[in-house]
Amino acid sequence: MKKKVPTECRLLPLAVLLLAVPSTASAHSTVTSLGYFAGGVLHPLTTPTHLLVLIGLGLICGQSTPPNLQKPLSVFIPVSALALCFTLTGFIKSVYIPILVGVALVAGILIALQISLPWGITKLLFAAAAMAIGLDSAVETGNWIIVTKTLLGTWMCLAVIVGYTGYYISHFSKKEWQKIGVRVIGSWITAASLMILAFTLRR
Amino acid sequence: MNKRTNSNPSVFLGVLLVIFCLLPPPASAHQQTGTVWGFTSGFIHPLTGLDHISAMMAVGLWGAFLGETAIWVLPIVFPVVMAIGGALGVIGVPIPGVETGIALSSLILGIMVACGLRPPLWIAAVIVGTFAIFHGHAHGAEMPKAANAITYAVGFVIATGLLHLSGISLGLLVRWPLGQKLVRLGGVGIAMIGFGFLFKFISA
Repeated sequence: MKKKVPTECRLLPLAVLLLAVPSTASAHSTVTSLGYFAGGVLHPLTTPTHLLVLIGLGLICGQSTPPNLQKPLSVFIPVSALALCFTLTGFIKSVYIPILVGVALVAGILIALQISLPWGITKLLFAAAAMAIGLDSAVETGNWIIVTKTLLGTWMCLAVIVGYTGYYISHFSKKEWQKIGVRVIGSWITAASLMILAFTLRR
Repeated sequence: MNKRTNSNPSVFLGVLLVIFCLLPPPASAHQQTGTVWGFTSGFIHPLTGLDHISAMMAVGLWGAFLGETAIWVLPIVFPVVMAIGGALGVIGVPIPGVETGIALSSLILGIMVACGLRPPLWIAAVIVGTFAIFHGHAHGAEMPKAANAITYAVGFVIATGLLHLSGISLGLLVRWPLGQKLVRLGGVGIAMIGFGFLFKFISA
């Protein structure tokens, strides 16, 4: 009696063959091979200090229920655009890291302690963050088309990270334990910022 | 009658396993540096020492024992104070008896969990915060030179926080009588680990 071979078993040699196929060599950074716009989008995502600040700002927005996105973003988006445009002048190539980390530290403390500051001070914090990140995102080489595409990608990504983080955190932190989770993340941002400050100042 | 033994799926799986074993691992001839290595290094660091793991778990377990407020106060206090200790370690400010302090943290926090002690929250926060300084200092001072400092810090804080959350998750068992016994037993184990490390440092 001939026993039928299961389909999964018949596919196994093919699976083995696929495993034997050599993987792609990744000697170079993949970001450079992307378009300039995509490169700009990836810039804040691949810069840990920027990401720390942006997530912190997003969490501040999200801690208020209903989400208070309009006021902070109405400051953050234009100021970051101005700062990014200012990098075209070439006067500032990068921002001193402790300034960026200091903003993340303040944001982390505010989140961990669940403090809602007066609107004027919150506006200043968002403006300072937007200015610092924008000035730290200068594009060093390329013609004006390349630079514009890259800066446009960066600008959109900055707004999207803060906006989406705020929106989703606000919608998913209605229960008490979820609010605690946001505060714990705030304490992590505070702790990481403190350590980074120490590392930076040691240099 | 034609019986085919090779139709058995276990034979195929055996062959597959052998081939898996024969696949060459990636060559790692170069020193690992950069953003990802920094994060990995920082993330793995708190997970590689039994003394650190036991103390972090004890913080979570004790927090669950102390009640609802402590569940979030201790995991918020610990990383922040630990980062202050880490910063002192990074900039080279010496703290005497760091290793002894770490061993003591496991011992005392383990005893607290084992005995189910419930001091006022501020006392618990002071105890946890004091020990956090020692843990942070050790982590900061032992940072690999090649690692990216920024991602190292982020990875290290996240791993520590996740250890606390693991402790809290286990600590939630205290809601049931049997779970309370198990958590206390865990505290005994942590205290024994702490005593072992303390004995090692004293006798060395």
